[in-house]
Amino acid sequence: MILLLACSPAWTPETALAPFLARLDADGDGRATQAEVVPARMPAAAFDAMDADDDGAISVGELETSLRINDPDRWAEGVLDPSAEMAAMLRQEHVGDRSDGWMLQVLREEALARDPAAAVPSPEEMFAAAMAGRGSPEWEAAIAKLAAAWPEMPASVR
Amino acid sequence: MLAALWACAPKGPPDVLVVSLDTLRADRLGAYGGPPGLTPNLDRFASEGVTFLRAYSQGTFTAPSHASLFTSRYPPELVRTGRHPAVGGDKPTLAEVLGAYGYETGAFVAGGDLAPEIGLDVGFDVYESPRDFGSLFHTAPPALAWIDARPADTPWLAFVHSYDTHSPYRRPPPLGSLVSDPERKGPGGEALRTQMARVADGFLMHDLRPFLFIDGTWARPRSPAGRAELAQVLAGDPSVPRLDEADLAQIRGAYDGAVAYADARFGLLLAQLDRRGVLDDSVVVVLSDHGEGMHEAGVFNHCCQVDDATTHVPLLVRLPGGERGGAKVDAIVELTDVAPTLYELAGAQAPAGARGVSFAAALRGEPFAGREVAWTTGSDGMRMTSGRSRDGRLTWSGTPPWAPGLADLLAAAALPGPGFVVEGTIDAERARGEMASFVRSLKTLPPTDARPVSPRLERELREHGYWGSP
Repeated sequence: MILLLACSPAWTPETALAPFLARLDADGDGRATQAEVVPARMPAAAFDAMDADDDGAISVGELETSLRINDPDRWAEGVLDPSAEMAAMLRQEHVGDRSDGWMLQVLREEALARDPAAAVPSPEEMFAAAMAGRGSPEWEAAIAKLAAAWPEMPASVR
Repeated sequence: MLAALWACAPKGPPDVLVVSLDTLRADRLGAYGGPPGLTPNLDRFASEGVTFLRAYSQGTFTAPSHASLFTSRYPPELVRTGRHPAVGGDKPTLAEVLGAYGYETGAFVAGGDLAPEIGLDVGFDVYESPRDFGSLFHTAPPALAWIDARPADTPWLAFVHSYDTHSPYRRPPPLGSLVSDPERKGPGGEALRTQMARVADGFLMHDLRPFLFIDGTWARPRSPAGRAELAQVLAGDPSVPRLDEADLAQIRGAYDGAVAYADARFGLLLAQLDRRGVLDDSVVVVLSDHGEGMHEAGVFNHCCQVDDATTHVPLLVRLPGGERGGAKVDAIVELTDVAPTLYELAGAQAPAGARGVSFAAALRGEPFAGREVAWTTGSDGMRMTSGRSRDGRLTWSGTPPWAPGLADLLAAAALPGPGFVVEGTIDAERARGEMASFVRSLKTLPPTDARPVSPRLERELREHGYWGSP
C-alpha cells in the first residue's frame, strides 16, 4: 500500500497544460477565452486558429494540438538579431581575441589600481603590443613600462 | 492493486534519460523559489525527484559546458579557443563509458553549439540534430522514436536537448507571451528582446565598440571603474537611448515566456514517456548547461558574466518509481558530478581523471557533504574564473585559465581590485588561495589552431548571439 501511494499519478497532456490555461483564465470561470488571452498578447488570428471548435475559448486539447503541430521556428521565422552581425564583425576587430592583449589590459589595471598616476602604456602602445604579440619589441616595451609601474608584477606573466 | 504495485517497482539496470534545457536559470523554477505558475511541469517533476538546490555549471557556453558534463572535466581541460572540445580518448564521455557497459546510446540535440561538427557526438550510437537552435518540438519526437525501438533487455542512455529558452526568446503565444509581450518595440522600432545583446548598464548601444574598448574584454562584471566610465560616456551621448525599468522588465518577461513554453513542452515529453511506461523504469535527469544574464551585471545573455545568473542551474533527478520524490539537497554540486553519479547508478566504473564526485549518496538519502566550492570558467572571449561557495563568490576576470603565470597573478593582484569581484560574505583571501590551487590543478590544453565551422553553422551561431566565440 505504501508503494502504491508512492506511485505518481500519470503524466498526461492534461496535467501538463491545464496549469497554463488556469493562469490565462483570469476570471476563474474555467475557460481561457479570447477576451482573456488576446489582451495577454496573442494576436486574434492566432487565437482563432487555435480555437478549433470556435467556442471562444482555448481548451487543453486545442493547446496541445497547437504545440504538437506548430513548429516554433515558423513563428520566429524571419526574425534575426540585427546586432549579431555587427557584434561578430566587431569581435574580429577586437584586439583581445586575436592576441594576448587581455594580459596587458589586466596588468595595466593592476598597476593603475596601485597608483592611478602610474606611467602605464598608452592605448596606442597597448594596441601595438597586442597586435605584435608576445616577444615582439612592442610587447617587451609595453611590459617594461608595466613592470616599472608595478614592480611586484609576477615575472611569470611576461 | 498488484499491478499498480508492480508498476511502481524498479526493474533491472536503469535506463537513463538526460534532458538538457539550454539556458535555463534555476531561479525561474518554482522548485527553486521562482515565480509561481511559470514552470508547473518542472515543479511537479521536482516533487517526484530529488532537487539539487545548489548546482552550478562549469561553463557558460553550450559546447564547453556540455563537454564538461559529458566528460566530468573542466572546460579549460577540453577546449581552449574555438568550438571544438577535445573529448573522447583519454577523456571518455558518458556515452562511451555507459556504452562499454552495454548501454545503447542516443543523443537528440538542437544543433547550434551541439551540432555534430562540434564533436560532442563521441560515443553515441545515434546522434541526431534535426534543427539548429531548435526546440523540444524538434528533438523529442526522434528521441521517443529511438526509445520505442530499444530492445527491452538492453539498457539505454538518451540525451535530449533544446534551445527553447535561448535568445531571442521568441516562442509562440499564448505561452511565449505569458508574462510580457515579446514583440514590444523598443527604440529604433525593433522588438526589445532582439536588442538585448546591445544593452549595457541600461543603455541601448548602436554598437558595442565603447563597451569593448573601455571594458577591454567581453567579460563582465569587469572592472567597476571601467563600467562607470562606460556609463558616463553613454550618458553624455544623446544618440544612445536609455532603457527604463519597464523596458528591461519586458525583456525579462520575454525570457520567462520562453521558460513557460519550454516547461509545457517538457510536460508533454513526460506525458509521452509515461504513456510508454518508461518513466517509472528510468533515471531521468533534468538540467541546464548554463543560465542567462538578466541585466544583473548590466547586460543580458550569457556572454559576459560568470555569476549565479549564468551558472546556477536546475538539477533534478527522478529515480525509478519516483523514489525519494520531493527530497531537496542543499549541498553544492557541479555538473561534473552528474556523469560519476550515473556511473554509480549504472554499476559502471568512473574513468580515471574524472573531476566530478558522485552524488548518488544524496539520491539515496545518505549523508552527503558535497563540495566546498563549485568552479566555473568563462570560455573563449570570457576570460573569467569563478568559485562559488555557500557564502558567496570570488570571480577573477581578465585572463583565461590557461594564461601564463595566472596562479602567480592571482596571488599578487590587488584584492579588492580591478581583477577580482567579491560577492557575499566569503573570506576573500582564502578564496583567492583556493582559486590559485584550482587554476594550478587544471590540465589545460596547449594552443591549437581553431578548426573553422561551416558557413551554415557560423551563420546560425551569429544569428543567435554567439558573437563571443568564433
